[in-house]
Amino acid sequence: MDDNIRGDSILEVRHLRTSFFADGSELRAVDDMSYSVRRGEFCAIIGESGSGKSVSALSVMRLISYPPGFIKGGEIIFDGRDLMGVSDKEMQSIRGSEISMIFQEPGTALNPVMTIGAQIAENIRLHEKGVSRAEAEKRAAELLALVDIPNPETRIRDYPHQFSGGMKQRAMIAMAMSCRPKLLFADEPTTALDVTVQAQVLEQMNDMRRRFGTSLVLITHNLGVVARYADSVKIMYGGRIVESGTTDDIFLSPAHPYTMGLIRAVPRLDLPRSHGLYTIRGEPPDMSATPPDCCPFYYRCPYEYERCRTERPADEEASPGHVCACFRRELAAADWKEAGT
Amino acid sequence: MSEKQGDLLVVRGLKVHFPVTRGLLKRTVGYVKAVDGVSFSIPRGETLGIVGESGSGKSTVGNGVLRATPYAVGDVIFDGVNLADMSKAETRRLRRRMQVVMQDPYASLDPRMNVRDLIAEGVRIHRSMTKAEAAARAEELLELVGIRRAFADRFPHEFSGGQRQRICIARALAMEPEFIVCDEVVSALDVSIQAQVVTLLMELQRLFGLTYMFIGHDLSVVRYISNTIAVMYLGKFMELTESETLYETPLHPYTRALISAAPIPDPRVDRARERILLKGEIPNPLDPPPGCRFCTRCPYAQDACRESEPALREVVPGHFVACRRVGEGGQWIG
Amino acid sequence: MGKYIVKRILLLIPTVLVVCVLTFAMMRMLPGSALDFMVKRLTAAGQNVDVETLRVRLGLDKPAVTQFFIWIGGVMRGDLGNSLFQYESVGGIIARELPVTLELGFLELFWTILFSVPLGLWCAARQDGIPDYTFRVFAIIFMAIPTFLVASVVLVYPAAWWGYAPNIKYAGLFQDFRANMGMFLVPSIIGALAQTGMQLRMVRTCCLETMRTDFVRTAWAKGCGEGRVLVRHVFRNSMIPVVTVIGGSVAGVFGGNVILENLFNIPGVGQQLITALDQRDYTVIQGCVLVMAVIVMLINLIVDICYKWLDPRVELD
Repeated sequence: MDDNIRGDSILEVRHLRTSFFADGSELRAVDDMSYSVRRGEFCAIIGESGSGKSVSALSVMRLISYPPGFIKGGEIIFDGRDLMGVSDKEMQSIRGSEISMIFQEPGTALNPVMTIGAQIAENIRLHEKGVSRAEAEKRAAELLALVDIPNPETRIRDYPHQFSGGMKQRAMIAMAMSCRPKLLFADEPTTALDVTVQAQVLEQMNDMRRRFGTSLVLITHNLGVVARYADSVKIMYGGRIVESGTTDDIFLSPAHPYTMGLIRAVPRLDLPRSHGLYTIRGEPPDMSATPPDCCPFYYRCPYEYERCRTERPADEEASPGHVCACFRRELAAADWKEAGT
Repeated sequence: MSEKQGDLLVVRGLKVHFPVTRGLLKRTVGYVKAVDGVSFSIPRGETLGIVGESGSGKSTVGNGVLRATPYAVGDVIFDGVNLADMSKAETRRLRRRMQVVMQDPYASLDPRMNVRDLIAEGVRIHRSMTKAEAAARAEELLELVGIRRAFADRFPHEFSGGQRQRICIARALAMEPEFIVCDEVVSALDVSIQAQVVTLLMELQRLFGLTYMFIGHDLSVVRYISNTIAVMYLGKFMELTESETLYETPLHPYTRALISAAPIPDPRVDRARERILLKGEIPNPLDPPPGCRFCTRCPYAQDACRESEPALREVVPGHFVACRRVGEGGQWIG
Repeated sequence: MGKYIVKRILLLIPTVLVVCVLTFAMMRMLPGSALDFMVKRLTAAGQNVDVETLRVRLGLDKPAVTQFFIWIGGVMRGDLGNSLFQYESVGGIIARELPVTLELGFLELFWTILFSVPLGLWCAARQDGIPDYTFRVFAIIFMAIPTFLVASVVLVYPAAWWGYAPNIKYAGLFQDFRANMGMFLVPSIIGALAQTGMQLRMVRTCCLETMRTDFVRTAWAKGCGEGRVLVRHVFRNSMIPVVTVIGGSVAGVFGGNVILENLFNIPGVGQQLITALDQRDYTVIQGCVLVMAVIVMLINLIVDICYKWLDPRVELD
């Protein structure tokens, strides 16, 4: 557990619902999602493609463009303010200074015709009035030094294509952290990178987070990354959080059948090859075709019964702070214990 | 190395050097040594895994074995016959027995054909069958890879990524191959779908006695499916050994870094593991460092490592490693 | 950069040579030579013509290859020869008429960029709004109506209704700016219409594409306002493909002005070329084509340099 964490929450999302409309049908990308992030916490949101994990972050940043997207409802309480109620102008001043975001593809997330230094300096000058260009560039160089980019004073004059993939992502981290944000969303920040570079970038991000006391929400499909770094984990499926708890809760005593499936579907390097790979049957749900009043996981779930198809499971506490939305969690948990994994 | 009687594929000294040209006259100014002398053999019915980062040349090894690149040099002996000695017609006949499945299934499926026709096409290439017979066989193959017969009329874009990958596997199977190169087949898939496809591949191997070359960047997945693993870096093998040994006694510093970077979804195990963070990124293959290719990132590199390249040698029976600091018997030279 | 420009200019020489050979050869391959036309015209005027003397005087008695080398030798010395029909050197004709054509072309280009770029960006920013639809409809109309039709309508109706017609007496840009504009304004705007329509759509599409890229999303996430996102992040990146298209259309702009020059009685190279082609005035045609080719190639060089300036990823070489 991190000593950075303080009790109160920096972000509280309540009943967030975001939909996309196309060809007259509604795709409920985020479907009644509630969670909170404490100050200084490293929080992970795990989900597969189409689970709504990226949309949930973009919703908090109010970066869902209409059309086709639309935040239908919910509250986003950030640092005591409801972001759904603030003006566009105010939201603009929050983005990049109090809440930042890092994206998946470092190759395309930086403007190819601006120097790295100018892009970091832009972020600083947008939010700190009266900082001169030279001053901002100087700070950009210092930030690049913090993320271990060699010769930062000369590298700020480079364009993104002169940086390698890992360096670009580190520059993105430097940019996102340039105004010491209170909250940082990192959307699959290492998926596009090589494994050994992934480790560097994650380490760097964790370092910067501790240095600045930033709360981090890491959005990923990679369970392993999360086990090493995160304080708390939220599992997303079909636009909802199906299970949330501390990292140990989720990995050692998971309560939702989907979480169990995910954990056992990853080949384990530390177990003999004969341990067998568990497979979750079927395909991820099509959220424009799934009815709202059911468990989105029912047709892939080994524990599914009638109630799962007609009623939406409510959040229940499996243990203090460990919440799960499943009618059959006790049955599943008993099986998990028996299997002894 | 360590060639045995039952080997289906033996590769000796495979090199693929792509020329780099410049200017109007296409002058060759250098070579990208994508694969720079690798040797291995795969026993019938087994799987060789090749793991490496982008730029390591792992996919090029697959292309070199299949002779899909004109720049491949070296001996590729398939079922006792050297591919270099064969005529064009013979090679074509042999190509049926060697198939490939690639990372992006959408790019390799003709979007204007329904999946039954896509697979029946392969069936009819080597079997004299009527259209109806080939179609029936195609549906059988679809069912085998877990696609319902009812979906045979659909087109590739109507399937999800995992299903498309299954269709590609079915199409490869239509040729009744003995050997399949699986090039990053599960890299683009979600975790739950990845497990399905890996399991399917292992099931098919058991059913038909297939031999695989499984290329990937995720050590956990590659190890899970492979009997033997080659760890590749900048065109060369750094370590080659049995899958079980690789995690238990990795010898090469690069392998150890890869293992350390591979996530394990168990916080108790993960927090207790050895952590090796490599500096920098893989160098440009056009300009590899002198000496050991890994020396620029190796935490244990000495002057000698920067001067000459260590050979891949058998330090323990069946365990090959190319590192100066690993001694006979596999002990670390301090 | 300097080295690159010198290299490119040196590379122009072989290309220009090829253009010279081709023009020369094609002229000689056309049925009917300059000699025939001259004889016909003189005979019609009731003069007695000694064909052989005339042939020698025009220099057409020598073999074509010799003629070519005599001409090219002159070109090397900066002498494009004399017109066969007019009592003037080709160099003199071009020096007089080329600035007129260039002015018309550059004015057209100026209007095209002035209107298409900001409007295209605005349409993209307000995609599917009423102004977006309106401008897109006009863009298609401008592209669809042939230039000569617009030009004829503009020439005929204002004259019939208000007795207004554009100047047709040429005045130099630096001698009498008002008179010069009075002459060029209307034809250059007409000439720019189709180009503007095309470029507006191009700019709009490119901007829309850029607006969907990851780095624009990054810009929003940084807290940029809409104006800043459009100007600093979308605009410059969208211009990269637009410059390519505009560069490619430059040759067309100069070539396509022949009709406008004719209708508005603008004494440019285009008009001259038509007359010269009619009469098979070899030296004038060769000279004009040569000079136009060099100009188009120089403009392409400028486009490539713009490219480098716009996009740091481009390697000039």
